[in-house]
Amino acid sequence: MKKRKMIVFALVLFFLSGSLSLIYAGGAQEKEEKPVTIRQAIFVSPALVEYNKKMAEKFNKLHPNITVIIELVGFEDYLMKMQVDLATGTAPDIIYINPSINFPLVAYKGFVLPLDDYVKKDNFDMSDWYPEAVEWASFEGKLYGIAQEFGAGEPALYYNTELFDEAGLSYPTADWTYNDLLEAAKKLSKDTDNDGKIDQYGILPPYHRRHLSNNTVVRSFGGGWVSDDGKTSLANMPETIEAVQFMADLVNVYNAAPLQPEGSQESTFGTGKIGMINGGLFSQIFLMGSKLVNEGKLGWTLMPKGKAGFISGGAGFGGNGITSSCENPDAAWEWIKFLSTKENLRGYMALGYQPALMSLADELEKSDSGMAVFIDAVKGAKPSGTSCANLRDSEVLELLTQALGDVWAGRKSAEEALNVVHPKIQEVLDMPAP
Amino acid sequence: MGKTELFLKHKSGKVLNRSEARWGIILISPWLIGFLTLNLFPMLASLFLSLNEYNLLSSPSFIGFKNYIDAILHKELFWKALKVTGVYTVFMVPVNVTGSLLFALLLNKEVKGIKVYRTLLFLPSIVPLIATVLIWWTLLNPVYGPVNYHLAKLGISGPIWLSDSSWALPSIIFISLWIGLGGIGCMMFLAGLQSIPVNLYEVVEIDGGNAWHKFIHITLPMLSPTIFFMLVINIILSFQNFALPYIATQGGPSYATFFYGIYIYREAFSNFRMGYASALAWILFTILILLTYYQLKASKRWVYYEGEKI
Amino acid sequence: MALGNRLRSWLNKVLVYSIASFLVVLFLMPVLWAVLSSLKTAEQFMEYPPRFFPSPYVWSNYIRVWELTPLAIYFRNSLFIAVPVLLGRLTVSSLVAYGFARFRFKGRNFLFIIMLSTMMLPQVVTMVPQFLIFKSMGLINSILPLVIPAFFGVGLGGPFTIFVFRQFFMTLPLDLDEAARIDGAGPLLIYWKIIVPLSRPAFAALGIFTFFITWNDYLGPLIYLRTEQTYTLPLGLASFLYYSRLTPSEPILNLLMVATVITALPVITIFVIGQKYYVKGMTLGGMKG
Repeated sequence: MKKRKMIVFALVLFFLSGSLSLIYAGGAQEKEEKPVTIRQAIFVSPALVEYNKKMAEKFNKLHPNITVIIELVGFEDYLMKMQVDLATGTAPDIIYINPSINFPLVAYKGFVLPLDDYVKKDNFDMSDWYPEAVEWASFEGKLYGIAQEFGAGEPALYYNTELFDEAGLSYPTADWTYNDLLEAAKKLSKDTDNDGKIDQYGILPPYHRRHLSNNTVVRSFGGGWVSDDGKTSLANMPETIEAVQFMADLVNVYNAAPLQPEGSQESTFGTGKIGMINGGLFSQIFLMGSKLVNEGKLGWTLMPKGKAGFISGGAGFGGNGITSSCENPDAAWEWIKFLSTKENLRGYMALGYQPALMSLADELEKSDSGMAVFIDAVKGAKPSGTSCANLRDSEVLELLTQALGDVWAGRKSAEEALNVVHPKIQEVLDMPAP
Repeated sequence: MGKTELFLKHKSGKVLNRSEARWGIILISPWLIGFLTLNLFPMLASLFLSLNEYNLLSSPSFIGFKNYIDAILHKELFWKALKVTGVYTVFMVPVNVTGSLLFALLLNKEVKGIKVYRTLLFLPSIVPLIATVLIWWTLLNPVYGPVNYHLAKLGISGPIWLSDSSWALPSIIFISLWIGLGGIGCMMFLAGLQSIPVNLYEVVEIDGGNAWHKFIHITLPMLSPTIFFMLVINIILSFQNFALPYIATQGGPSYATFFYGIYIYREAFSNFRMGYASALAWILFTILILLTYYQLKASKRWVYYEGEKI
Repeated sequence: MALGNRLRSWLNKVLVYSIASFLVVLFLMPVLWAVLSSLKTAEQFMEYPPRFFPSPYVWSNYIRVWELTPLAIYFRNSLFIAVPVLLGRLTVSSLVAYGFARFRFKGRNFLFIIMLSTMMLPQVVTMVPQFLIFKSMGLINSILPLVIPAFFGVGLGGPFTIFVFRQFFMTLPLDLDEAARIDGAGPLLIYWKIIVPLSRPAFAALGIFTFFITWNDYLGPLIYLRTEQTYTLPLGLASFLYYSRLTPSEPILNLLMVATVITALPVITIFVIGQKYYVKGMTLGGMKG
C-alpha cells in the first residue's frame, strides 16, 4: 500500500515538474503582446542595461504605443549568437554594430537596413558626429548605423609613478621615442628580493591577440599587418619585423618584460610590479580597485612616436543598426533617434564611453578628466590593423596570434615567423568575401 | 503462450520472443521519438551542409565532397588539430581512467569521514570553467605565480607554462586532470564498486584469497562494464575537447593547443565556413564511430556482464 | 592473530587517511584559494606576493553581487530547468536503458550504436538546425527547448546516461528477474522492484551528473533564452562578469569568485544528498522476497 502511494507520488511529481516548466515558459512569452514592440540586443554591462531601460521608459512616455525590450548578450558570445539569430530569422530589431564584432559584414550580407532615407526624411543632422564615425558606419555609400561612441583602440601608455620615482626617472611624455621606452624599461627591471630572478619589470608589451589588432607599436614603426585597402599582407615588411622583434627582445634579450597569459595584462600591472603597459580607455576599468589606482600612482600619456610618428590603430565606432527582419523599422528608427539626441548621448558618455559627437568630446576634454589623451588619439587614428577587404579579419588575426606565440617565448625570430605567416595571410586576403 | 515461457532465457539468442521484443520497443520508444524528432534532422542537415559552401548568412551552394578533400589533402591545420587532439587523447584517456579508478578505490574504503573526503575531492570538477582558468592563470603565472615561486625555492627554474608552445599542452592536460580525477568519472567507478555484491568477496575470503585476489577475481571483472564505458566516453569527450583550451589559451601559442573542437568552432563562427565545419565534424564523427565500434567488438572479450542477454 | 588483524586494519586506516588527506590538500588548494579570494578586496586580489588569507574578510562582496544582479531570479530560473530535467532524465533514461539491457528485439544493437553516435557530432554544427526545430514549434525564449529533450532521452547528457544505466543494469544477474517473473511480476514491476533498488548508486551518480551539467550549461541557455527574466545562473552571471569590465562599474575579479561559490553551492548540495544513496553492502541473496 505504502509503495503504491510512493509510485503515485513519484508520478505526480514527475508530471508536475514537466507542466510547471510549461506554465513558466508560457509566462515568459506573454509579455510581447503590445501594439509595437522593439527588441534591442546590447552587450556589456548591467549598467548599460539599466541606462537603456531608463531611456526606454522615458521613450515610452513620448511614444506610448512603442515598447522597447532590452536583451542582454555577453560580448564574447555576441558574434556567435548574432549569427545563429540571423541564420534562423530570430534576430532582434536593433543590434549593436561595431567593426570589431560584425560591421561591415552585416551590411554586406543585407542584414541591416540602410538609414539614409530616414536621415533625409527627418533632416537628421549628423554634422556633429566625427566624420569617421559616419564613414566607417557606412558600406558602399550607405549609412547603416548611428554611432553612440567613437574612440581609438589602445593609444595610451600607462605608467606606475611610484616605480618611476624610485628609479629616479622622469615620467613618460607624448614626445618619447621607442628608444626612451626601452631605456626606461631596462632601468625599471629589478630583482627586488635578491633571489637571482627579476621580479619587477619595466613594461608589459602589447603582444597579445587583443593588442595585435590595434597594433599601435607596429604602425608607429612604419609597418603593419594588412595594407590600408585591406588587400595585401604587410607581415614581412622590414618595419613590421623590426617592431615585432623589438617587443620580443624586451622579453628575451633585455629581460625588461614578463610573459603573461592573455587576459591578465591589466591585473598584472595593477599589482604594482610592472612599470608600464599599453592600453585603452577600458584599461582603467580593469585597473579599478587595484593598489595602483587606490594609492593614486597611475599616470598615462600617449604611446611613443616611432619612425612613422604616433599612430593609433584599432579605432572604431559603436552604434545601433536596424535589422532587415524588423517588422516596424519606423518605430525602431524613432528609438535610435531618441538615443542619439545630444542630451541622451551625454548620459551615455557619463557611463564612461568616449563620445561620437565632437562637441561632447570638447566638453570632455575641457573637464580635465584625464581624457585628453584619448580624445587626442582619435585624430588621425586608423581602423583595426587587420581590416580585410574581404571581411576575413578574425582569420588573419588568428594566423598572426598563433604565428607570433613562439616569437614572444623566444623560440623563433620575428623574421622567421613572419616570413612563414606572410603567404598564409595573403592567401586569406585573396579569398572571396564570405 | 504461457507466462513462464514468455520470458525464457535464450542462450543462443536466435529465438526472438515477440512479447519481449514488444516490451523492448515500448521501453526505448521515448528515446526513439526524441531521436527522430530532435536529433535526426539536425544530423542530416549538417551532413547535407558538409557538402555545401555555407556561411550561415547566405543560402548554401552545393560543392560535393570538396570540403572533405580540402580538409584531408590541402589543410595543414586539419592535421595539426588532429595531432594535438590525438596526443591529448592518448595521454588523457588512460591516465584519467586509471586515476579515477584509483581515486574511487581509495574513496570506497569504509572509514569514518570518507564522505567528506569524497565531497572535497569532487569540488574541482564543479568550479565553473571561467573561474578554473582564472585560478590556474594565477597559480601558473610564470613570474608571479606560487607554483614557479615554490619551484624556484627548490632550485628549479619553472617554465612559462601556458605561454610556451612546448608546455601549453601538458599544462592543459594537467588542468584537465585536476578537474577530472575526483569528478564524475570517479563517482561512476564508486557507484560501480558499491554495486558489487559483498557476498562475492566472502567467497574469495573463504577460499583464503587476499586483497589482491579479491581485486583481480572480483573487483576488476565486476567493474569491467564501468571501465568499458569510461573508456568509450573518455575517448569521445577527449576528441571533442573544446571549452578549457578555448578559454585558457585560445588554441595557442603557435597552435600548441589547437584542438579539433576549436578548429570546428573557429571555422563555423569566426571564419564563416559552416559547410567546412560540418565536414570537419563528420570526419570526427566517422573517427569516433569507428573507434567506438571496435571497442564494442573488442569488449566482448574482456567485459563481463553478469546479466547479459546475448 | 587477532592482534595482527587489528594492527593491519589500523595501518590500513592510517594509510587511507594519509593518502586521502594528501590528495585533498593537493586538489583543494586552488578551490580554497578561489573561496578565500571571494572574501578579498579587489586590491588584495591583485597584490603581489599573493597572500592566501584575506585581511580583512570582506563579506559584503556577497551582498554586492546580490545588489548588482537579479540573483534570485537567475536562481529560480536555473531550478525550474534543472529540477524537471533531473526527474525526466533519470526516469526516461533508466527505462530506455532497461529496454536496451534486458530485452531482445530486432535491431537492438544497431539502435544502441545510433544512440551512442548522437554523442559524437559536435553541437556546433547541429545547433542551428536544432534551433529551427524548436522555432517551428514556437518554443524560442522559453525554457522548454532545454527541458523537453530530457523527457525523450536526448539532449545534453542523454545518451551518456542511457549508456551508463545500461552498463549498470547489465551487471545485475538475470536470476533475479526470473524469480520475480515466476512470482507473476511484469517488466515494469521488475524494473521498479529489482532494477531500481539494486542500482541506487548508479541513480545517485547519474543524478549528480545530470544536475551538474544542466546547472552549469551555458550554450543552451545562451541560444534559447533572450530576456534577462529567463536567464539562468551561469548565463546571467557571465554577462555580469565579463562585461561589467567594459564599463566603469567596479572591480570584478573578486566578485567573480563570489559568483563561482554561489553557483557551486546547489551542486554541492545535490552531491551530498546523492551520496546517501551510495550504499554498500547489498547482498543478492536476500532480494527474492
